[in-house]
Amino acid sequence: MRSSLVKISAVLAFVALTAYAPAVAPHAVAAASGPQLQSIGPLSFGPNGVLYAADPLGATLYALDLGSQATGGAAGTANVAGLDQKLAAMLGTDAKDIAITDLAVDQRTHNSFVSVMRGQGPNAKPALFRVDGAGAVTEIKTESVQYTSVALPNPAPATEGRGNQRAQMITQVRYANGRVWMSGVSNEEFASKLWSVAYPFTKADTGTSLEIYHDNHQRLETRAPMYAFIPYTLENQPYIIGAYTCTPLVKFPVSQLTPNTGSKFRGTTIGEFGAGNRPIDMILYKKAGKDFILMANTSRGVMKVPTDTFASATPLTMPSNQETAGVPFEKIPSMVGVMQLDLLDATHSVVLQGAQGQPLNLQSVELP
Amino acid sequence: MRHRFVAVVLLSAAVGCGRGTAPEPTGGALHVSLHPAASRVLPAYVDVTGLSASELASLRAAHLGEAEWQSLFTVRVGGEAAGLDLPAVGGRYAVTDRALTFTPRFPFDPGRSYRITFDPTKMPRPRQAASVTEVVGLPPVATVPSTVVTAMHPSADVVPENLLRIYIEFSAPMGSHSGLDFVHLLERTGADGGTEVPVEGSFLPVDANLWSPDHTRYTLYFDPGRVKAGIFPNRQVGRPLVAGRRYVLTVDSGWTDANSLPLKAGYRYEFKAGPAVDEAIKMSDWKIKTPLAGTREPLVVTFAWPVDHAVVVRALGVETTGAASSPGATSALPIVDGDIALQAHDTRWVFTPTAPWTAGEYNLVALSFLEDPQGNRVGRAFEVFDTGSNEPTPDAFRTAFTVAPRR
Repeated sequence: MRSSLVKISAVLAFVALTAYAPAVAPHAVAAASGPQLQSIGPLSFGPNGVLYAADPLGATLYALDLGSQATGGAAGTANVAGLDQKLAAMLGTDAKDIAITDLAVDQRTHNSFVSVMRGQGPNAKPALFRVDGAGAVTEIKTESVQYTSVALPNPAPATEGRGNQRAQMITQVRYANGRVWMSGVSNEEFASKLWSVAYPFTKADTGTSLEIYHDNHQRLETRAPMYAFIPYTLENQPYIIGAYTCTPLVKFPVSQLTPNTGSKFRGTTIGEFGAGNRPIDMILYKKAGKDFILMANTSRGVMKVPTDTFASATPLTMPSNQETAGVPFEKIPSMVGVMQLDLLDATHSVVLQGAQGQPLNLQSVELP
Repeated sequence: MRHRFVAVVLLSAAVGCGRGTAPEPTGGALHVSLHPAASRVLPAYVDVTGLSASELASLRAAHLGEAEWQSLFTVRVGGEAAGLDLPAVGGRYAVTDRALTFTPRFPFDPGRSYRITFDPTKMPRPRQAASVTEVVGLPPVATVPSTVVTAMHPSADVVPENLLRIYIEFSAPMGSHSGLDFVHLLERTGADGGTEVPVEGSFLPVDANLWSPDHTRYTLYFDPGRVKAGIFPNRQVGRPLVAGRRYVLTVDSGWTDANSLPLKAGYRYEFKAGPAVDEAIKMSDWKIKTPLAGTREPLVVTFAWPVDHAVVVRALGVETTGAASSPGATSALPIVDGDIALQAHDTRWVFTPTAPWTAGEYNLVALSFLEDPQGNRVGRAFEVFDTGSNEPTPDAFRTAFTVAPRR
C-alpha cells in the first residue's frame, strides 16, 4: 500500500522534541507588522483591545493590535441583514463560498469583528471585518496590523509522501488573568486538549498543553473535545467552565494546571444539557446582580444558565435516566438559529442568526 | 451590455499595465475589460481605457477614497442586475499611463460573472457621457466532475460495533463543506440485504473543519455519546452499529470538490458489525517478525486488531536501545530511519530501514497517542473507569526486539 509509505524518523523526532520546553530565560516576542494568516477563527478580545485570532492551518495564535482600524466607526453594532451575502460580495464571491468562523465584540467600541474564510478547500483564504454602530462593514487590512504570535503545539510536521494528514481545529479562544486559553479537536486522535500560554508572549513560553478529562456517568473517565468554555471565578478560585457535545457542563480548577507533560487536568461534570447537540459559544453576563452564562447550541437552542449553583453543585457521577440533569438552566425560545454569539454590552448580546440555507443576519438581542 | 467569459488566449496580448496605445489627448470611447492573470504575481484585473491623458492625470492627483473609487468604477458579483443592492468588490485601484485599473483583493473566481461599471460623470473632471457596463468572467477551471472517493478506513468486511472514527479519502482536493449532509449509514436488512434502512443520528454533530490540510481526507466521527456504554444516548437508543448486523456507508455524489463540482460518482462501503473492541492496545499482543542483520528486510509487526490508519503513521517507530536513558524518555533517541507501509486492513505494519540492519537490540516504540479506530490507546481503553489517579501517562511505550547476525 504505497499511499501510506512515509519517512517516519522525522515524525518521531518531532514529537520527542515537543515534550520538552527550552530551559532559557523568557524574552518578549517583538511586535511585527502584517501577520501572514493562513486561516482565521476563533477570535477573542483581551484587555486594551488586543484581538486574539487563532490560525488553525498555520498552527499559530496571533495577538493583533488593530490600531486605527479598530476605531473610527460609530460606536455599537447595528443590525445587518444578510451579513454573509454582504461579506461575500465584498470578497468577490458568493455567500455559499464563504464560512464565517467567529464573531467577537471589542468592548471599548462595542463594534463587532467577524472572521471569514473565503473560498473552498485548501485554497480558502482568511479575511477579517468590522461592523460598526451605523451598520458600516469594513474589511480590516491585515497587512498593516501590528501583531505578536506564538506557535501552537504539535502542528503537522513535514513528512515525505502523504503520510501525515493531521489537522487541528480550534474550537474556542479566551483570555483570563494573564493567559490565553484555547481548546481544540484533531481530525485524528480523539482527545481533549486545553492549551494555555502567558500573554504577552515570550520566546521561551511555548504554552502548556494538557489532556483534560471529566467524570461521566458511572465514573467513566471521559476524554472528548471541548467546544465552548469561559474562564470563571468560583469561591475566589479561577476555573474553566467548559461545554462538550451531548452536552455535559464541566468545571476545571485552574490550580490543577501544571506544566508536566501527561498530567491530567481533571474536571467535574455539574450539568447535562441534552444529547445530539454541540455547543457553539458561551458568554458570561450579569443581570439583577447575578451572573449567568448564555450558551448557543447547534440543535438545542440558546440556554441561560445561572452560575450561583456551580460552586456547590453535586458532581454527576451516577447514571441518569433523565435527558438533562445537574445545575438548572432554561431555554430561551425567542433566540433561534443562532450560529455565533458574543456579549455586545451590559444589556445585549450580538448574534449571527439564520435558518439553514437562508441569509445570516447580525443582530443585537437583549440579554434574557 | 454583453456577457462573455474571457478567453485567455485572446487577451494575452493586452495583459500588463502601461502597455498598448497611448491615451488620446481628448479621450476616446470608453471600454472596460477583464484581463486574466499573467502570473502568480500579476493576478487578473479589470481596467477602463479611452480616458484622456488629462483625465488620467486628474484621477491620479485626486487621491480618492475607496468609496469614491467604487462609486466611479464599480465591480460587483453577478451578472445582469443581480446584486445591485450588495456592496462592491473590495480591491486596489491604480492609474497607469493609459488606463484606470482595479485588482480585487482576492482573485476573481473562475466561472463567476462580475458586473463592471464605469461612470464618467463621477470623475474629478466629469465627462458628460453614459456609463459603460460589461459583465465578464474568467473561464471555469473545470466543468466535468472527476473527483471520486478512493478509499475508506477502516476497510475490513467486519468492523467493531464501537467504531468511533472513519476516514474518507478523495482523489483530489474537496471543498470545505461538512460531510454530515452527504454521508449516510444504512442498515441492510432482509435475506439478501437488499432493504436499506437509514440509521439516524449516527455521527457527531461537528460541522467544522475535519479535513486534512490538503482537503483530500475527511474524518467522520460516530457520536461518542451513542458509542460509549452508559451515556444517556447510548442507553436510550443504543450504538449506531450493532454486532451481527449488516450496514452500508454511502457517500452522495452531491458533495462538492474544491472546484465546486460534484463527485463523479457516489461511493458505498458495505460491512458487517462485529463484537466491540473495548480494551487497551497491548504491545505484548503484537507479533514481531524480525529481520536479519546486514539486510534491508522489513520488520513486520502484526497487531491483534486493526490500528488507526492515520495515527499509526505518526505514533510507531523503531529506535536503537541504550540511549533511552530514563524510563519514559523520548528525547535524543537514535531513531532508525525508514519507510513504513500498512497492510491487511491496518493489521500489519511493515518497516523497511533506509540502511541495512546491524545486529543488536532495538525497541519498537509506540507513542502514547497511538489509537485504534475505537479510540483505545496503548495501555488505556477508550472507556475506562476513573481511578482518581493523576499520574502522568508515559509519553511512549516500548517493546524490545533483537536483530540477529546472519550466519
